[in-house]
Amino acid sequence: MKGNEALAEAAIRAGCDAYFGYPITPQSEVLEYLAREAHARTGMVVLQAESEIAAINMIYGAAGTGKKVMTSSSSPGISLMQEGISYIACAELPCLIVNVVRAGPGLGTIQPSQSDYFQAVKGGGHGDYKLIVLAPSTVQEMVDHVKLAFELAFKWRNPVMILTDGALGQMMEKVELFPHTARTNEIYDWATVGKPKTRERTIITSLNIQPEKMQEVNLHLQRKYKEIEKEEIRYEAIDCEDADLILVAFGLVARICKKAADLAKRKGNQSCSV
Amino acid sequence: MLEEEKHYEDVIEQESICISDNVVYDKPETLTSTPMHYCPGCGHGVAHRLIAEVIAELDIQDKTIGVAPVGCAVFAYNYFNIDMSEAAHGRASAVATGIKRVLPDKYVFSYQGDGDLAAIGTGETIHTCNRGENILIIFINNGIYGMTGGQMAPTSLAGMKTTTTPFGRDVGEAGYPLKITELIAQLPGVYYCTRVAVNTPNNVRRAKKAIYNGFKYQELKKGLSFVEIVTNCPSNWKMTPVESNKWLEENMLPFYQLGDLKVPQKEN
Repeated sequence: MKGNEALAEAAIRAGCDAYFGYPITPQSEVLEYLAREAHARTGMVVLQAESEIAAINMIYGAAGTGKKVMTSSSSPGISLMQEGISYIACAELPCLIVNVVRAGPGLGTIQPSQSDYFQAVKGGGHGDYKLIVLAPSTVQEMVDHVKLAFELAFKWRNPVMILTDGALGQMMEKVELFPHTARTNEIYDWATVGKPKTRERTIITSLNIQPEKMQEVNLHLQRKYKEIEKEEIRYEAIDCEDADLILVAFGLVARICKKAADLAKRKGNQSCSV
Repeated sequence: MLEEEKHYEDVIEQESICISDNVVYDKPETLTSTPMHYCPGCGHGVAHRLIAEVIAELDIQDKTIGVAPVGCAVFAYNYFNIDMSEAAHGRASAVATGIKRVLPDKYVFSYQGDGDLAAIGTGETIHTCNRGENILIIFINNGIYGMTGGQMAPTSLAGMKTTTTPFGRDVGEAGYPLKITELIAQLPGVYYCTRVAVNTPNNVRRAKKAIYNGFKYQELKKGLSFVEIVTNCPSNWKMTPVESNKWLEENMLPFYQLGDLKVPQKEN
């Protein structure tokens, strides 16, 4: 399957409730595939928004109801979403954002790149916040990371980004798909679903006008990020124990590095690892 | 105690005023007891109350989700005793879309000012209306940016003095006041579009009816309802509440004329 389509299929299978997105190369197949497949199969909501700004705010609204929601875009579109992502991070809402990276800055090119690395891992928008970022290196991981992303998003109530690129998005590889998970109607106590008489109202907001409250929220977020760093770091180390030279890479480049280390070993350099 | 007060004391005792049988007008349970931060004489408080009354009367508190804007009503969620989401500036209708699409059987409304809805959020407003999202948009138009301190709004009248048009809005320079409600009424996805005010008791009653209609049409899944409420801003218009209501009558209402812009066609 093509990377973008495999990711979209994985979203349906993961029991995703809604997708809001806007076309941009090289990720439009995600929206196209979902528009074709999703609603008829699971009743999943798929809506083409009028802009990435609208799409991420639809995500904010829908995520606030406790539903499993996602969007996807590529670099310039992800830049437009940053304001909304900042609100989502502060309001501590779970959601999945997929960035099929293309090269920039500016309008750049539609060719693949890893140029949004810092934007993805350091926050991206205004304020001190962080995303959980997963970087697949194969189409298989494009699939597996969707399921994992939703699990992490709800475990930590934090937006999760799948940071992939145009090459993986467009590449065709064999994949093994996981079985369908049914969509759930779970009601979370933090979600805005309509206030019964039996509970206090819920409010989804990122506004903390009192400086003490703002500080408290920021300290809480930083503690959460530290905990996530402690518990959720994922990497693969190949023969690193005795290496003199370790190549560190993510995404597609990790596969190139694996090959480079293999070649180095074949040429007699035993101490190069990934 | 004044003589006059003594007189009333004789007629009716305080205890009997406070007994629940005698209460003829009360705060609906859909409003919280938080004192509102709005300036004296501002229309927001009345608009909030009308929305809260309609939600209470329709008995849909447990099915209603509101979306607050950025602007003076940024704290609207402190006053409505319902589930609410606070949106980024201009994005309330997109947030409302997201909520409604995943919870189609709930009542969703956004509450937005003129800067939020008709300047920074114009794109979201037009497209939400054009999709005919089955929600209610309440649009508060006071012709000025209130929260940031009286700057020009897209709806500021020609010649109107604001802190960013200190010599009056020069339409050649700053553009024309935007009648966005007239634009919205043209869109096929819009089922009901009306303009009301809350400056007189009669207008308050009409405004309540419009809000009621908006929720009712949503229940019937008719598409988008859009209710513009023309209001005053005594603080930033630099007037007393009474003066501001007079100014509204004499200046705002001739330009933003009250009445229905789109009403449901009779179905055969």
